[in-house]
Amino acid sequence: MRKWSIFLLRKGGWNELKKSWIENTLHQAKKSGASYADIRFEHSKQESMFVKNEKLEAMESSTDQGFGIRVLIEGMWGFSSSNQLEENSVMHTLEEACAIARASSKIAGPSIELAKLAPVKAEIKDQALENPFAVNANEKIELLKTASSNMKIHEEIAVRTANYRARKLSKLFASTEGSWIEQERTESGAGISATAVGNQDVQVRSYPNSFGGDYSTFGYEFVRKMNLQSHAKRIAEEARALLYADPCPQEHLDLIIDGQQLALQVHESIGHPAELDRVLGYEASFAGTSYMTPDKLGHFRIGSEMVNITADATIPGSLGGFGYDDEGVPAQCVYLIKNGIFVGYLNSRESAHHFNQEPMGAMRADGWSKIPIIRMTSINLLPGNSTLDELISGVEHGLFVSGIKSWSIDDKRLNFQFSPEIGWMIKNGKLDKMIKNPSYTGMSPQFWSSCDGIANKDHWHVWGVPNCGKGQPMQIMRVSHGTSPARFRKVKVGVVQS
Amino acid sequence: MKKDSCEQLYNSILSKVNADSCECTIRQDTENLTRFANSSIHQSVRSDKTSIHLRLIKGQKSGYSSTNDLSENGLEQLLQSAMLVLENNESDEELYPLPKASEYDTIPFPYMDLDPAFDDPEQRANIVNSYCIGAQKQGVQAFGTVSSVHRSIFIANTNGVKAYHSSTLAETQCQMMKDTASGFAQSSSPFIKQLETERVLEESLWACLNSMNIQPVEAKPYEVILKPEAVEDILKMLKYMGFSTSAIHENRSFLSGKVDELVFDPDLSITDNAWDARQIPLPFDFEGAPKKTVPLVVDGVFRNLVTDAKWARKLKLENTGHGLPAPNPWGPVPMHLVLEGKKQRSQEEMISDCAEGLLITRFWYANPAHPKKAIATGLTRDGTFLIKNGKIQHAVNNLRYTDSLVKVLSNVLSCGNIMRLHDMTVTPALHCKNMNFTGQASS
Repeated sequence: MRKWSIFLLRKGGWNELKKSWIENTLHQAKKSGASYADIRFEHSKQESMFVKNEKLEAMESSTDQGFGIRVLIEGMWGFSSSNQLEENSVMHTLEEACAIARASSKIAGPSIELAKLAPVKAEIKDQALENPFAVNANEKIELLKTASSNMKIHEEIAVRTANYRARKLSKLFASTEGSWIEQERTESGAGISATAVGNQDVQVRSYPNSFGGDYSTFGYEFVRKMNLQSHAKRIAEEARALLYADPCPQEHLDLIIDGQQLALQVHESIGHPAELDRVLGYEASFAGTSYMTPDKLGHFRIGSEMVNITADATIPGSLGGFGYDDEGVPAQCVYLIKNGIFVGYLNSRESAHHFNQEPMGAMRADGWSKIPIIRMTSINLLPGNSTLDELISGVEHGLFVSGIKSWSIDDKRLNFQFSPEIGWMIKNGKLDKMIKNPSYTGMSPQFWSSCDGIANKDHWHVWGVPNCGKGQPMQIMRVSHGTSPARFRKVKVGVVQS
Repeated sequence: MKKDSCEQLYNSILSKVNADSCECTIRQDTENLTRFANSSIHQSVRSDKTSIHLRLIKGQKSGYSSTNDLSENGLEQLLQSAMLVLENNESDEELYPLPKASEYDTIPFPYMDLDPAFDDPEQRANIVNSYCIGAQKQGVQAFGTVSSVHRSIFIANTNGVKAYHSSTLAETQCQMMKDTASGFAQSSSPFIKQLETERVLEESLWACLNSMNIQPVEAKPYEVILKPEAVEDILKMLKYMGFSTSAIHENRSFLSGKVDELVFDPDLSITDNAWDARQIPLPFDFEGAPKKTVPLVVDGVFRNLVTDAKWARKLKLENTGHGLPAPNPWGPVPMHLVLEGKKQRSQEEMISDCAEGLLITRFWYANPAHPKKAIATGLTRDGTFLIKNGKIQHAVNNLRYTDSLVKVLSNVLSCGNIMRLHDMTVTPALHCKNMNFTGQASS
């Protein structure tokens, strides 16, 4: 049996990829009783480098390709996928998807219907200016090693890491409704981290963000702009200073949260609960449900007047952005929170129909082998009018926190507890002494309602988060969050005492 | 993928390799999963993946690449890519040779479900149906999953390693819910027809039906009875925070510098045992080295580390077969944890022993807050109950804990007499003297 390589089939564009072959599959799906079917091919190439203590510990390249078929039969979904790109494998995979849907339909339940969508024929091109795969490997290694070396300021900086990752992704989506969408994107990112060990303690500082750095759909120009080397010494000094810093006090005080940590706060306490599949109970036994229930839509106050949060898949270069989602719905910008009021959800065609909404394009799959589920796009806290200095000057006794160390939130996304990497006390409107192990806790709506200042667009940055986990089987999604530092009044801090 | 097919593929790759040594790993994973919510199926999926991972060594340089493009062109590109990585890589003075051929024991008991029902979506749907019928009778709704996974792994290298293993794993989780009440239970087995679905139904229903009238309690330290699922959450968090050999060596772990010291309650022992009959066995690691049973904690005393080829050489210890897929800058970690205790009691006896405390079904969203001190935070979920005078009084709201998990496991009053497997972790229930709760959560 002839094996097909998507790489070869893609030469000259996806249209060369046996268009008739895909059309036959979709035609066969209809003949098998599918009221709707789609097929998604993906091909990706990745490279990664990891430097630890000035030594290149890992360098890897990988290729991943395959396809997934989703069918709706007798009101139930069936999905099957394979990387066996043989001519009969696609038909076999379709048969499996159909058998799965029929088995599910034997259990009594509501019949799934989809919100209407006009068929689309589109081609979305890569936004990257500088292809990261074309940049000399030695140049990339040298960048990471220099950054690692610049963190070597003292023997207490025991672990110095620097990492880089890039991915080139091509997708083809076709449906029985006549959509045919081809998309290409490049993702690139990097980060550094200094771990200080001493004084019977361990402390970590990272740049530009924790857990691997910052990511975007720009090219290698994004990595160059990070200027990793010049931030290395500072974060190493901060990590070491944290070993000897005072612990976080236990009290209620005014809190200013830096952009990275605020991105996580948006992610956990607004982004996830706005997913409509959670509201429907589809994630109840695993990721949980949501406090943002439909009866609250349009009137429930989640934040103060100045809190405006959008789901915007159209921001150029954002990791959570795209041209079309994995149901063929075009990228959009919608409000989730407007002037503090809960006004919108992240949805799918299925959940949009259920709640009589318009699909807003949030269905994405973690690769060809997974069924699309509702995911965050770029969920953004829109900038305010203040400078960071103005926010700080408005605090008599408070705390400024930065970086991400640890987080936890309940299954309705109400009670949260976060531990940033570093903190500084604020005294009479000025940053004061450094604080180790800062932590804060609260309930989502009360917390967002205490927001009385958001830094302006000069401080605003879209943080790329490559590791959002959800679903069973687990799907790791690339999302993003635009944030600038913001101020919250009378927050409970110092919950974690070492 | 059968062993013969893997060998054939390996030989065809090997014939084109231009390097001093080569390691090839071929993995095939077939995963079936059915999810249900509101007492009906909302997602049912299957995926079939085969991938090849190649490690080349030439002189003091190595190169890694992987692909799932099994076409002739795809394999050609895999070789080119691994060689390109090798050429761009730096010479590594510490580069260690690939493991040598070594006898590994075959699994002494069958762990393959060959019943066609294992892959059949109707079998999964029938299990879901049994939960939904049980839920309907009690006026509640069922949520959860039924899954079946078949994994094969083949590892071969030019030093003579040729290791192959294939196994199956079926799992089910069920959460019963009504309004703010919920209950949860799960079961794992190599065989789909041996899943304890009746127990899962009974336990999840019991916790849900007894959580209808939740009464709030104060967040403060409590004596706790942790069901096996809750102990699993704690043990996995401890593994993440401290059992990594590199973390211990780099003084980042709560176990650093504590070899032969009493760390946990003297009643507890923690073993990494890939051969335990209650585990999903694996005879070798991801470098093809035979898995050794490693007593990590014996009677509360931290005794041993796990190693792989690199760390065994570095620490001058025996290779215990705990290598992860290459490239692995993080070092070896235990993968098959078994926690056991001596003072065994049934759950009913534990409850009757408790003057005042909490019975906890499981935890949710735990994360390390201070790994060096083993401090973590997380929340209770799906059934938390107040015990007074040896009896369950009523369900309580979910609570957030923030505490040193080493401290929690240092004061163990008794251990459950039933062990449960989930996610390669085998745990009993534990009755612990003290756990610190720091906040109220949603119920």
